Amino acid sequence: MEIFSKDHKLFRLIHHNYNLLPVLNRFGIKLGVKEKTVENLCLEKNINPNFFLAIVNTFNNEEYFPQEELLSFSPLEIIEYLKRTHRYYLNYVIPKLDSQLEELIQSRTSENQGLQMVSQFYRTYKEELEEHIDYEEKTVFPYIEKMVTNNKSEGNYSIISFEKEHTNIDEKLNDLKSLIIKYLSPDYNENLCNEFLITLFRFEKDIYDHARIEDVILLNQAKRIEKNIR
Amino acid sequence: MNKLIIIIHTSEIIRKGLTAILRSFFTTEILQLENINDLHSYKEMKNHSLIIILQNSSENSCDIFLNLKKNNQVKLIDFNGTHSKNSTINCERSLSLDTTALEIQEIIANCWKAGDKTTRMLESDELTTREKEVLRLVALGHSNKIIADKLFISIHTVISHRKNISEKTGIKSISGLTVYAILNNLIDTNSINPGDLI
Repeated sequence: MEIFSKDHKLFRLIHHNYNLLPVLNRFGIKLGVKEKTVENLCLEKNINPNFFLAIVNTFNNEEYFPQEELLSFSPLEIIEYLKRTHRYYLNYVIPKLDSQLEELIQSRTSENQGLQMVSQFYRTYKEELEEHIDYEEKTVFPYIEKMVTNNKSEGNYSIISFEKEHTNIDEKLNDLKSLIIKYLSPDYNENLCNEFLITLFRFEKDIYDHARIEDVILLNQAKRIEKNIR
Repeated sequence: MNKLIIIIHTSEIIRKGLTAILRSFFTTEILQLENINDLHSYKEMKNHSLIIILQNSSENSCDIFLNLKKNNQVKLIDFNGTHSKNSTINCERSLSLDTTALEIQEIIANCWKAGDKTTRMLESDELTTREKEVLRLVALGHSNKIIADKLFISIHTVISHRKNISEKTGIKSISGLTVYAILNNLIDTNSINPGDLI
């Protein structure tokens, strides 16, 4: 477990944890990072380095909680980042899961009821995820954005009511994995099934850290602002 | 439960040395911190089995440990650089510069062992007949209250069955349990369209 700082070389970050790659992309960073440090690159890309490090460290390190940095960047920056993450899920990960699952289903040689059930379950999960993202983008984020720009809260909505939302979705993703790992009947192409499962594992990790950034950083900030306004 | 060893010591030589020794015995993740205040960044940690090796623990405030203890299993080991044998508060065990690598290994191993006793072991991962009945009713979309009435048991018992079912199957959501029930033939899919249930 390592905590990254401004002086760390970016290529070391990537060697250390390649799951950070999509995170870096969300900041507009692409490969070919040469010998640049975090600070160099942030300066070049016009990124607030404290914000960058808070995200990267929270992502890299499950127990990390950026207490000091919390105040030093705007909720609007976080929202922008979270929206880019949502786009990544909706435009890349979900279509990838769709097509991998489709291929897997095509590979079966009999009816394979298990696979069909899994596919049905995946669809309900996907719907829920899309609804959830929609809810965040249309309700939660605008509420926080208005609070920050107008310096007052609107309506009876409170940020606390949002907190419990995440758990259901995490639960379903985990169930999906368990169903495949424990209860699938063996009539399918194993390589295709592995691919699908691996994509699920990686997605689960990414979305888990994404939810942590929302819960730990954004909601805490929003609560603080809400308290000051009311 | 995730295992983690945290070494808190101002001396880099000691941190790295201890880490090197521990690495030769354990694959557990090891976190090295220079200062006890760095631990505050980890106060949100949950469900870990922690061993914290702390420099002169008696001189340190315990707030952060109380915080960690709420959501984790914590064992403190005092690292006493001055060789003194004085026992310190809240520490069951201690290390010093004289402790040998083998002794360190033994101390850590004992800490894990002591922790393991408290984790409950499930006797079997097979669902009992009663659990299968509860699961079938859950999958059919019944509430805890209705399940309790149908099986003549209390709601409390239903909840406890459901908790065991989820622990054994690894599945928590109702629609996930429904898929499980269908795949294990607990529900007759000839009379019900599975699509309506999931």
